[in-house]
Amino acid sequence: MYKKINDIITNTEENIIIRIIDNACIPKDPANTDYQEYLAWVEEGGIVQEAD
Amino acid sequence: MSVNINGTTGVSLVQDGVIVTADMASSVPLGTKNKIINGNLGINQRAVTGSVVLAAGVYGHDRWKAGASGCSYTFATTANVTTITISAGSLLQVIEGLNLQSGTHTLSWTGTATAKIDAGSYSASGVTGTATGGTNMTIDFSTGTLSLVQLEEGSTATPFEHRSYGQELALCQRYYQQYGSSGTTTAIGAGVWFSTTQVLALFPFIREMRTAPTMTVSGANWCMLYRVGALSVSNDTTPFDSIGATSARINNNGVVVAGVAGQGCFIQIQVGYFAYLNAEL
Repeated sequence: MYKKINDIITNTEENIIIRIIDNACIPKDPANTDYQEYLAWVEEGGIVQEAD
Repeated sequence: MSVNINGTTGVSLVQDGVIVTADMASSVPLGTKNKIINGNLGINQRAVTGSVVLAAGVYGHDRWKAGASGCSYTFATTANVTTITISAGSLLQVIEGLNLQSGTHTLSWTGTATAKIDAGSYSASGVTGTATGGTNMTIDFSTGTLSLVQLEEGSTATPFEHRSYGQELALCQRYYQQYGSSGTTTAIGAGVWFSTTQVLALFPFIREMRTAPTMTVSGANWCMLYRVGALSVSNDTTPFDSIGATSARINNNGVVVAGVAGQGCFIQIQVGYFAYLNAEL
């Protein structure tokens, strides 16, 4: 459902999460409602896919 | 009708020698009184048309989203007033707490729909509720017609405040912005060919958003990537990172035709493609 993504330059985890169903780039901003939904999903046991 | 300014009674509206509204300045909210954004329903960036069917939480006209059971509605515009007819479900607007002060507020509209404020009960126009400054408030309309929606401080509904189209659009763009057109290309940024298949560029937003927005594109081929004497087309469905409230980085990793590393790059959204920025509540 969600996937991490790495910065191609630094190879460190990006500051966004990809929502796979619609390829949305979700910033890791606590005020962003999509990020809030992501955090709730993780809290309920969701496993995020690692970056390629 | 005239306005009297008196050191004892304040500012009053006077008609035919009779005070119609006494101490108007303290009893009637004056100027930008409407806490509802897009209360005239004239802003429709998502370009919904016809019979609109929204799943729960999905937005139609700007700032208006479906309730927990979704929402089905049609709409028509006459003489610059848009009327929505809700046939099923409910239509909500969440008002950002930063725009609210504590106290009684009155919700008014034209039409047969009933509405409630937060956890209140559905009633006809003239619904009152209590806001807490800094806390979001939800306005919820059930089936029926509605237009000219207004929420204002105090316990008295006053005539609808008509803001200019530009003012209303700007207020909406704090929460949602859409780039692209079905009729022409849209220039959005410039940067550099980081490699033969990857472009990095700045995407400045036309207005600061409520928070860093969720960003999507309508398809992998969403933009044209210019280089010296030629151009390529994107082949990336997730081309954004470093997203902030005022700008994002285009990190377009994947192209139809390779570019030249080190060259500058100018970016235009292709005709019929779109980039969506969502910072709604």
